[in-house]
Amino acid sequence: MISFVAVILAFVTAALLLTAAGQNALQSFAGMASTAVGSNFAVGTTLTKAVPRLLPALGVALALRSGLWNIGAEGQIYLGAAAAAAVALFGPPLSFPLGTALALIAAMIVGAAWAAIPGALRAYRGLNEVITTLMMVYVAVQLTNYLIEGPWLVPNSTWPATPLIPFAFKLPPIWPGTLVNGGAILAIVGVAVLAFVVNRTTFGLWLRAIGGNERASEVIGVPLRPMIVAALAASGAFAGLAGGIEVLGVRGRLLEGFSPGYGFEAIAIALLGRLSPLGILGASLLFGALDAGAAGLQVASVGISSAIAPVIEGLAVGYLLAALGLAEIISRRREARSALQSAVRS
Amino acid sequence: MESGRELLKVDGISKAFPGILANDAITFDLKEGEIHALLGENGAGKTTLVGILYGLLHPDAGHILVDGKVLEPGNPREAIVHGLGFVQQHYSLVPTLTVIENLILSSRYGSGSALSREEIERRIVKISQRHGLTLDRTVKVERLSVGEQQHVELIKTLIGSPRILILDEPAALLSAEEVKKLWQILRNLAGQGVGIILIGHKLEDVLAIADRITVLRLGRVVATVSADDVNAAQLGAMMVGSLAAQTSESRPAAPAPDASTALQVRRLSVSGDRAPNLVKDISFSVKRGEVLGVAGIIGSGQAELLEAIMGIRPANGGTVLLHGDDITGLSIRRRRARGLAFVPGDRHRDGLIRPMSVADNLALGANGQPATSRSGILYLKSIETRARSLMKRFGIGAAGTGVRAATLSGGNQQKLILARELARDPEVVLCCYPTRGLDFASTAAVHEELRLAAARGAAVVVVSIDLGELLALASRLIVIQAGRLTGEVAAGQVTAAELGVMLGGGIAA
Repeated sequence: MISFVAVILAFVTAALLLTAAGQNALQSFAGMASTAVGSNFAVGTTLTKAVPRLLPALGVALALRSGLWNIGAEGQIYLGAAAAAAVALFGPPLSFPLGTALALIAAMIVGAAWAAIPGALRAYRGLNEVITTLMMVYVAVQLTNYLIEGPWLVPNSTWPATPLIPFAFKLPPIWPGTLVNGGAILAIVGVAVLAFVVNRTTFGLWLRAIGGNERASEVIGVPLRPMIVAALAASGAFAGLAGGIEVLGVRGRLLEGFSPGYGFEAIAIALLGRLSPLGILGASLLFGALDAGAAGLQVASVGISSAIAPVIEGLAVGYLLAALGLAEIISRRREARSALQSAVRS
Repeated sequence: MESGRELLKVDGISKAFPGILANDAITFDLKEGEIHALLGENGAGKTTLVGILYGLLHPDAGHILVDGKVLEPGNPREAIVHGLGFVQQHYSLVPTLTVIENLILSSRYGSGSALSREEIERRIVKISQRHGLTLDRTVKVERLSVGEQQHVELIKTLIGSPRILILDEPAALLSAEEVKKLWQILRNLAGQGVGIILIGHKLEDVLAIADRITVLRLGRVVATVSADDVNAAQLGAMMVGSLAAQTSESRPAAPAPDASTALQVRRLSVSGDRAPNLVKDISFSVKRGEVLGVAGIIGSGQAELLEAIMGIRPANGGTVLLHGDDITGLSIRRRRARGLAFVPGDRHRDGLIRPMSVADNLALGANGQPATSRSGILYLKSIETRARSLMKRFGIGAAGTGVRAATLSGGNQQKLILARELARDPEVVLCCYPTRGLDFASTAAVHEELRLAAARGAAVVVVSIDLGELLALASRLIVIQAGRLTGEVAAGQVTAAELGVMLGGGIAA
């Protein structure tokens, strides 16, 4: 609800900005709508652009349920993509579902392993995971770039990319006439998996317990340190899968800079979705639509940069955080008052 | 000194909270140049009274008079304007700022009127000289000892030149040397005509410094006496008398004579958060079905001792045996699996996941039990049924199993913790301040559950600063002073007053 209001406010503010810049806001939005939802192809583009945001956002939300910030989904996406490409390019010549599955599993494992490193550093050395997950993004991106420009570079290329992956490893299209591929189904499955894991498993119960009170959880017998590692690893698996889907379903090869910051947007999406799987699904569809719509802006109104799309995204999250901050202040005041009373009572 | 003019009169102050009458018609007075101690156990109503004096709380009835004039209730500024100064139990200093910066901060933005930096410096020098305080004003507060930090707090208050100084448990954290110094400063202040109210629960402190003593018990004034007319034993009896009488009907159940030893602690040493080697070389054992009470003034290392037995805090040395097996190296989780249960002293910090539901909190305690989960999948229905039956069995008052634990009252939160811990029929129950802050009905319910746990064969260890509680629950008591085991008695052979003297550290001798 609060997120819904924030999104509306973001659009209103963007309209004001556009008007202030001398543009027709309604016309601009109409232009965005045409390439975001105006046709089957447009809807397909929105869906395809939502997938690499949705899966990492689910991962970010999973970690946040236990109070851990996975800022490094971007890096886990890149290495997940690299792992999927490695299996497809250099693995055994498998036939369709098996090879794709193997490549995606490899993407998840590598994403999980990469995120488990800051998890272990946090659990056993007390290092703040916000810093370590973020720093490891740069390592991951540079490592991927090295592979692309170095050993995996397509021969005689002026373009930093690997060769195309064999057809048998690709995620097939599932909606003729659009870009939508099998990754969309996997993303929906991801939504269900997150909902199930958080609410219906012991792992999820522990996750929420740690997020609610880390110290008490340990006293009650939750295996705190292994859980911290596991939570970040699971989070990284979601991001890694997104990277694998990008390679196998969308790009068909590993290329430099294929993610324009999906992993960072995922944090905003997880927050906008209030950590709920369905909320995150909605928020990533919105972000996907904004991305798809940005292309339409330049067609519709001359002189408007497609940069208005990220402006709306930023505004929505900004409004949400402001509203949440306000709610927090109010509830803290209330809590402080009752704490004073109960302190006085004892 | 006693012949001074009356500065302050507390006249019939009453304050009720849901389920407890914290202050019941409290009346006493303070004279110029007098040191008047308010003495009472936890829950006696001292903190409520301070809150009312400070103007943080609005009394239900009664007045506070300064120089015969009635203070407007519930207004902190009013108290300060009329010359009341407070030194809180918990210091409110910014550790990373220097002494002088802290003092400027509090006089600018705190309660006092804004003074110039020069004026503040001038007053600090004056106050320091007068009371022989040798504080380096340019040093950061985090580098000061607790006693020195208290001096900063004291100066902070004295900058406002109060005529009535109220100190809440000022000696609680100080070393003997620092306490001596503090008493000297307070006598000095009293000599200049300042009236001082000293709130505490340590008999020795109060007898050493106070002119008059008002004893509070369960929110009421037991008596106001001159310090020259009483001894520690009499004061101890006044403090604890009534509760011991009230609950002594239900005698603690003694273990069967042939009961086997469940828990054995051998030469255990533990560090505190601030004090290395807080607990030194403690050994004891508890039999199945026995309730062992651990008595000691607060901060003697009792809580740390239990945490070390539970594996929450590492032991510096010594061993913990459960049914003869060494469990010293095991994790909390392993110890719980072996049948240890823990009721922490700090419910909010260590006891509950407050944003989670009652059912989820109870499910957490059942980890690994097939009733609530199998291969990592939760059985929501079983969790719900189990939660409902535990709520009924332990009398947890909540609107349903789905409400957040944070919304429960303190008594119900404690029952929730007990339900989670005792539902597993543990071998050993470690219990820290089990009824702190609870009203009588909840206290009785908690005591009953602990007795039942012992009757089912659990070895129960109860740490409490409420002597009446220990005598009502435990069949055997050990006394801990400054981290050492200094005495052991059977509950039947000692009264609360005698026990109070034992804790006081040889005042009777």
